[in-house]
Amino acid sequence: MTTRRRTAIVRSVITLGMAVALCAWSKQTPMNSTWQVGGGINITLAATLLCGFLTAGLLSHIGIPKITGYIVAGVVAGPHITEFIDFGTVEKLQLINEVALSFIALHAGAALDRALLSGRTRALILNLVLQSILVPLLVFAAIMAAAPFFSFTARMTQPQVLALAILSAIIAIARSPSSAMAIITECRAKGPFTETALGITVAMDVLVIILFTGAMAVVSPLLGGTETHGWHQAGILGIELTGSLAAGALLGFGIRTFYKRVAKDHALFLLFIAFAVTRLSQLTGHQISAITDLHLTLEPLLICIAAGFVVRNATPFGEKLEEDLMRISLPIYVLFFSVAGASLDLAALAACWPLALILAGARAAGLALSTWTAGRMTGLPDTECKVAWMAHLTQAGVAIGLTQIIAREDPKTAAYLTTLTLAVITLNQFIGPVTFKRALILTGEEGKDRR
Amino acid sequence: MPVFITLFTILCLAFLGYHLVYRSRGRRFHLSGAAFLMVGYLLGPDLLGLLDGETATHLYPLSGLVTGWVGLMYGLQLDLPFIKRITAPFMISVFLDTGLTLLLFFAGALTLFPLLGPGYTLSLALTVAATAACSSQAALVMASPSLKPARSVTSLMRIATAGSLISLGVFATAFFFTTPSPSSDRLSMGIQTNLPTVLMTTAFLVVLYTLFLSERRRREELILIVTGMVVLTSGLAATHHFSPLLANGITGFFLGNTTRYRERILSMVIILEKPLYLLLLILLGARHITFSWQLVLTAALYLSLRTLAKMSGGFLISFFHTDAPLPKRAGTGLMEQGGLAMAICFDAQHAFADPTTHRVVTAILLATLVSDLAGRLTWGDLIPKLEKTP
Repeated sequence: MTTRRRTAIVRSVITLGMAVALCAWSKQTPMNSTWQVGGGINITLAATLLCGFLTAGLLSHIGIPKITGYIVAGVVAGPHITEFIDFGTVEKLQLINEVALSFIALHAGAALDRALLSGRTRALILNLVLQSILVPLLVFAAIMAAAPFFSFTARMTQPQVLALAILSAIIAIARSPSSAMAIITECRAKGPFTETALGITVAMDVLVIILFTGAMAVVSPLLGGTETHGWHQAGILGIELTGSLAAGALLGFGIRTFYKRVAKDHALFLLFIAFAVTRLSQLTGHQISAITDLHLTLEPLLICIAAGFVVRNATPFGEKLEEDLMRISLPIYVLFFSVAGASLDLAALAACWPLALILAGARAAGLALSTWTAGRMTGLPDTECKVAWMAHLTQAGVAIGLTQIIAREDPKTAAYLTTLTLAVITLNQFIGPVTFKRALILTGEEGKDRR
Repeated sequence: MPVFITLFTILCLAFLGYHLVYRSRGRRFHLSGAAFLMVGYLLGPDLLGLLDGETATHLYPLSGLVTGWVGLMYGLQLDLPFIKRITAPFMISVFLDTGLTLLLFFAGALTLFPLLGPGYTLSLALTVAATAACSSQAALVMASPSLKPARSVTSLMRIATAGSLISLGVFATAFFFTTPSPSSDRLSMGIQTNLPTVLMTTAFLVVLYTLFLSERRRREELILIVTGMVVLTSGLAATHHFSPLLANGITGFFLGNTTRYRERILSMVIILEKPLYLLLLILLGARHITFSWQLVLTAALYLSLRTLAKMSGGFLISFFHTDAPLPKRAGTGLMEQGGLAMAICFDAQHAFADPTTHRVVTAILLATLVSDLAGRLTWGDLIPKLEKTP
């Protein structure tokens, strides 16, 4: 290790120590007014940003991706370890976190270049088909085989175990476009492998909703509902999906008009878009529920992905949009993943880690098998065939959202499903970024984006 | 109002605004900060409801960031050589303009506010005086016809800068009277307990900034560090019941004058200044307003008193200011409120939160809106014309 590098590490450790000491001291102040409570949230958020950034910098010296560093900092500061960020604060930071997620989704959509993907359409489609068959199959088989051996599932009835296995199998194909985007941005990766991985990740997040709508119809009678009710829920999910994609496309053309007419202040505009999409999705959901008695909510993640994709591929402002997003992306990534780290449910992991480990293993095996087969069938380079699965382990976002839908059907099964899903997500969020970064290094696409 | 109708209204207004500003013949309309106060109101609890009370609570960090950013920028710009260059005639001019406004408003507010209801009377009087005394420098730059501002405009800009600093000082004293009924020894108590804390925390923050910046970093990393530090400073200030604007201003002043990172941070702070300033206006405009004759009267009183103070101040300056000849109606150039005044209002509505503060800040915003919109139509080219006949 060079002297310069050692000095940088020592300096980072001192800075981290001082920042933690200052924040810990500030937490001693009694909070009497709303303003002081607001100040407390500010300190928490700033500490999350700065300490997450420093921790990630320190961990990057041993080759761990920065996103994992942000998550680790969040976990340490979170309610399960030091309680610097308690459950209440996590709740209060939720809106900012959702806005950050919309922003990241816009970035992911804008990064999807159809021209780069066009040479790999066959590989993309084959991957989607194989992954959406093999991954659920292996996960389903693993749960059904392992269920009798764990106290976690032993308490459940046979139909409940079956429902849990079906839904977990479908949720297993959900990805985390935000994590994938963060890794790609951090590694400044560019190339066919990167584009294919991102394309599959984004498409899978749409596909999982479609498959979930079908699964809901099958599972509903198992959970005591009727088949008609299941199809009703599936129909609502279908409307949500179509509505979100249509709203996203419309928003994309709105962004195009703004870029065409106004040559400045794009950063503020993009943050406003992320905020407006998040809040308007909630508001329209409430209004539609009030008028039609339907639980229908537009999905901000899908709206923003679709908007970014439209700007990138149907307008001449794609590159500019991506540049603008890139410029202000770092604080948003640090914030989002640090808060995500604090929100990770370690209690859920502790409750069912052996089963979660089996499920995560089955999922990884399914991914490896499907990506390898798809790669071989489409004649992709050898290295890509071998390492492609490593790019798909990260999982978050939509998966949690889908478990909430089950809660309306059967709260008990939903509780098991949520615990298990959160445990698997926790595992994948730690391992996924490390493997994805490794895959980018092995394929030689790390550092290829020279912007 | 239903979401869809409000959204449609906003889109129509945006379309209308765009055509009036960019497409109208002669382009008599200008895009000003006031428009963003309106945007805030449209998004606020009375109309669209995107920025309602609950959302505002969740956006506290953003509030800390926007006011803190303005404060940091002011603090960084205040370098000691500038202070050392100040001459006696210049100081007289500053006191004539700012001092007169401060005195008029402080006396007026102290008389009027007890009539509005119980609250932070003294703090609020000082805040209103500080707000009224602030003048925009950016507006003066825009008033200058060429890229290089005329000497008289530069002099007015310097007067506006120095006046703003005095206003900040007055605003700082408002925090020593934060209890609704301050006792006589509150000020000395406040100085004894708060001042050492503020100074020690500032020193700690400057060291932290130095440690962060001692490494060569990319611009995105710099944005993250400064954003984090500004929010941290704002949070520390709020938990100790002090102003985030001032806390960041003080940190910026020490950072700029005791380290070698002034230019590095300032160049980055300026890049995000405008978006964050517009965000401040949107957040400030997003409020519940109960329109009443009392509100309109307070706004009218504020506007007329300020016009009187600034015009008289400008008139007196033209006699005493010797650095450059100034027109008799120089006060016109100091009429626009500027970002600092808005940041003070924003800080005050959180620090002295009660119904009276809410009403007073709303009245100031209404007055600002009127003066800003009317001002752009009249004085936009006034100063260059007067420049020829000092």
